[in-house]
Amino acid sequence: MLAGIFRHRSVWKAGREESRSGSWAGLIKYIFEHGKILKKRGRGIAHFFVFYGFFLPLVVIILAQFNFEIGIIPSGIVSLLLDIIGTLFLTGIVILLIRRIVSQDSEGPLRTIFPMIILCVIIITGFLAEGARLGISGTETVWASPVGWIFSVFVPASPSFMQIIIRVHFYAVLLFLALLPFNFAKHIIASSLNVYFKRKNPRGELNKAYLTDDSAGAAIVRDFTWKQLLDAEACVSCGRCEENCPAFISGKPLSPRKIIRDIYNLMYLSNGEKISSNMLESTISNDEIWSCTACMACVEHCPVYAEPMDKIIDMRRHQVMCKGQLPAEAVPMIRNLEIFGDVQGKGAAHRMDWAMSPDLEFANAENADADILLWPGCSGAFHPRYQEVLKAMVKILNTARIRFSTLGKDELCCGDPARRLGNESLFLELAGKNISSFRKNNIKKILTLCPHCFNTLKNEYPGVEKELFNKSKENIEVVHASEYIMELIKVKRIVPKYPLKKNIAFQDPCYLGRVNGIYNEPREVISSIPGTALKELDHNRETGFCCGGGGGGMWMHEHSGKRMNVIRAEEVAEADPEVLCTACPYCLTMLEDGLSSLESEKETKVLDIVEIIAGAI
Amino acid sequence: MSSDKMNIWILVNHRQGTVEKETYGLAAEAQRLLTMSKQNSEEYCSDGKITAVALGAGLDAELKQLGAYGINSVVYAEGQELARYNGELFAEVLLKLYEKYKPACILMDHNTETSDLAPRLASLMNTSIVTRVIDFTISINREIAATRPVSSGYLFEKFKLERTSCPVITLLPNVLNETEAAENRNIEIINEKIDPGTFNLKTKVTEIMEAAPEDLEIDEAEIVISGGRGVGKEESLDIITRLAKSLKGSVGGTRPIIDWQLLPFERQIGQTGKVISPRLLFACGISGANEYTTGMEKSRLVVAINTDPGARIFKFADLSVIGDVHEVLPRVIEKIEERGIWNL
Ligand SMILES: Cc1cc2nc3c(=O)[nH]c(=O)nc-3n(C[C@H](O)[C@H](O)[C@H](O)COP(=O)(O)OP(=O)(O)OC[C@H]3O[C@@H](n4cnc5c(N)ncnc54)[C@H](O)[C@@H]3O)c2cc1C
Ligand code: SF4
Ligand code: SF4
Repeated sequence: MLAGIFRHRSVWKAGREESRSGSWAGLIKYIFEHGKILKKRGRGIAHFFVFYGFFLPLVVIILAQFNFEIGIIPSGIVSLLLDIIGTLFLTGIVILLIRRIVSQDSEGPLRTIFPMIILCVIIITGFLAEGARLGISGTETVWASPVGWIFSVFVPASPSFMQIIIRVHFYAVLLFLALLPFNFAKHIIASSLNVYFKRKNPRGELNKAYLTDDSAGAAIVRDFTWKQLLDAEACVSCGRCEENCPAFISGKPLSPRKIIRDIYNLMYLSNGEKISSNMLESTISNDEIWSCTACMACVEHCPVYAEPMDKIIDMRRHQVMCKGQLPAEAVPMIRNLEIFGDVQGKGAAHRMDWAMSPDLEFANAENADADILLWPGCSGAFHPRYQEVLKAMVKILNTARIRFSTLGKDELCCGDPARRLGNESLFLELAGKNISSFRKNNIKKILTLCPHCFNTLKNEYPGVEKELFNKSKENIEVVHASEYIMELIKVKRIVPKYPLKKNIAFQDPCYLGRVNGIYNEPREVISSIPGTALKELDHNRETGFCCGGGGGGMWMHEHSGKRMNVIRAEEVAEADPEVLCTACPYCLTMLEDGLSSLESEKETKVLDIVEIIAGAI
Repeated sequence: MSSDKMNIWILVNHRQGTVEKETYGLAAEAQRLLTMSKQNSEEYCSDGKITAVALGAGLDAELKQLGAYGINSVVYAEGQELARYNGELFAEVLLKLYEKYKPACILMDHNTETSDLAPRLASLMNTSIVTRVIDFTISINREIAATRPVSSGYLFEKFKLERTSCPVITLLPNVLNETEAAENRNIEIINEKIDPGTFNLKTKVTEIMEAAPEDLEIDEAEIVISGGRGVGKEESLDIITRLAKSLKGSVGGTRPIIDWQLLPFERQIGQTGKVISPRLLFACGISGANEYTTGMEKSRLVVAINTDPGARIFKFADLSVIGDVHEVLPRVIEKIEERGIWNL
């Protein structure tokens, strides 16, 4: 068994170095609370029973070795509990077994079925032995062993039979343990390890790209870090990532589960050692990796903290930085970033065009003594629709009498589209220049409208700053408009007075909600408007459905399946709110487009949360 | 002809009986080369000259005009067989002419034909070739060098040519500056009789099929007619195709048109489609969403037709027509068919 475990260890340890520290407290909490696993009701509960059905009797058996008296009644209660637990265990394992048998698991159910059958044998022989014992020693404590009693009815009350059954029970336990590293049950160890080593960085911060003189990103399995390979080892192929992946749901050729399982299979095929060819590329196609919107639903829903998305990004990095392969539609945008520093290719000279209006007066960061730096982002500065949102933000700031400034023409794209499309060097260049501007102007606090800018500035820039400038200054506080507006409402700097529409539904932007955990603030903001009722969409909060715009999706054609924004728009139309509120330029464009492509009589209006508040004060 | 005089050849680019402006750009480039080398080695170049080489039929009148662009003489190989481009034949003819006149170099503008012709010719001549050049220098007894962009224009590479006997150079059209015509001088036109039968050609043209203009790729076409949701579904789009036919343009659309599968994805204009810059673009029944305009902002002349006077597309239009496409376009098409495209 130990040899088996070490063999596995050598396979994922063959990955690149990555420094990670573990957390026992986190692991223990995870295991005993079972929260992450219980997120999926049915199977989660079944797993809960199986875990405790295995664990508690084990504890009792170990304790029982110490031979202490606890009296008839307590020991009866323990016995009763064990009976109940055993029954739940059996039910749980049967449910999981059936699920695995009928599931579409690509590798076939055999891998998982065998250990489950051993577990069934263990529990059934346990009951049989108890039944035999009751038959032999009389049934005066029947209340404490109801299941054993039922078994005792048809089990021979023979000591030798009991001996045999106990042996079988015992050997089955040994067999289970001995085979543990070689079948599905190994997840007990691998997944626990993965939980122990789970990320401590913000979720929204992508791994640094692997860059050497002649390679970048992941070309072969061993270009992944050991932790990335441990992810694959830990994966239980439960399919939760896939069930929540917008690309998979909308019929794209991508399944995060397949990505992880492919990596797993390849790493064993290569045994961690010899693989050098581009098997990775032939197993995972470009169509797969370019279908991802970086929405992080797979990361959110994985019960063992595996992260399919970062593997996809690493493979993109290889395609882009080593092979110059990028979907043709995205090429002009990347060139625009390279040449002009913005996604629209308008250039610095036009970055402040949106502010060319006499009622929009404010300072440039250089000579301002401002409370906060307003970060319009490429969408706010250049997208005609989002410029309106930006102006609404300025109105709110002016009403609240907040002194704010902008970087003006010095602002560049935050780099998120470049980074998530795999162009790490371009991201670093843009980030480096922006960070220099922040340092030069001594910026302390930044307000963003776009959740992608928000995530990049807040979670990714500190790492880049450390890297490029060797030390990070005191961290800059980055706030998203929805949080900031809530703050302003709380301190009564602004008071929403005028009701807008009664029914407002909220679209959780992936990079606000799932990635940065901001679910409540936008909801509170909406509810703060008198006479407004918030209507939840079916997919909300953690299960919020991606609009399709992230991860460079705004610049890629969806070649197959149904368009994600249309799927989401249909759900919105079904819920039929008067206004759909969102807090992200991509969501806004995507859903306006999606809703208008439904061509229904009644068109739901899509507004940014900033516009809604600007209209209510 | 003695080779100690610098004789620069330029290949005449002509279409449908008229000389294209790239030829004048080449003439200017040749002029620049002469002046430059004159400064470097006076004796040799004092009577350098520029010769235009033309292959085709029915060009006499046009070629006479070349005197106005500083060209000294024209070598004209005329024949019906040369009326259309044929790579193998053209290369053989040029080789023959080269052997007779021994120019110092041959300049062409880079286009689809010359990217086929130049390598054929250079290999027959057994000399150097550089394509897509943006800067070229030549001087006798000195080095010959050419610069061209690589990595989509982020880097430049500079070549020094080792084989300096008459290199073949194709220049990128955007470095060929149009020049004003000076007063025309009389120039000598040397007619070369060519008998294609004397060449041992391995290929034979059996048939020529014209591509329908509406089949042209939208990012290559000079005229694009694009339709949007406002045009309508199904047969409604026919009006766009009809206009394209009569204007000899290509057809494109906004995303809804592609979603309705009226046009294939290759014909989508915009942020997730193609970025185009035709000379003339019609935008019919299109609101002008940013995702569309990203793909057409660089078009030269834009005609927009929309029922909504507030449509954003009008910000990008040189000619704004407020009206229903199905009322406006049939009349436009009728007029074009009556009087021809350019006499409206
Ligand atoms: C991420 C993303 C990427 C996108 N990429 C692209 C892209 O690459 N290319 C693209 O085109 N779109 C793209 N879109 C969609 C884009 O946002 C718009 O939805 C789309 O361009 C609108 O197309 P339209 O102008 O044809 O339709 P509409 O916006 O519906 O406009 C129709 C117009 O026709 C007018 N009209 C109606 N009837 C008539 C009539 N009889 N005569 C004259 N005018 C009439 C109306 O006044 C209206 O202005 C993208 C959207 C997203 C979210
Ligand atoms: S990040 Fe989103 S789109 Fe990408 S694989 Fe995960 S769930 Fe699917
Ligand atoms: S990666 Fe996680 S969520 Fe996806 S199948 Fe594996 S264990 Fe399940």
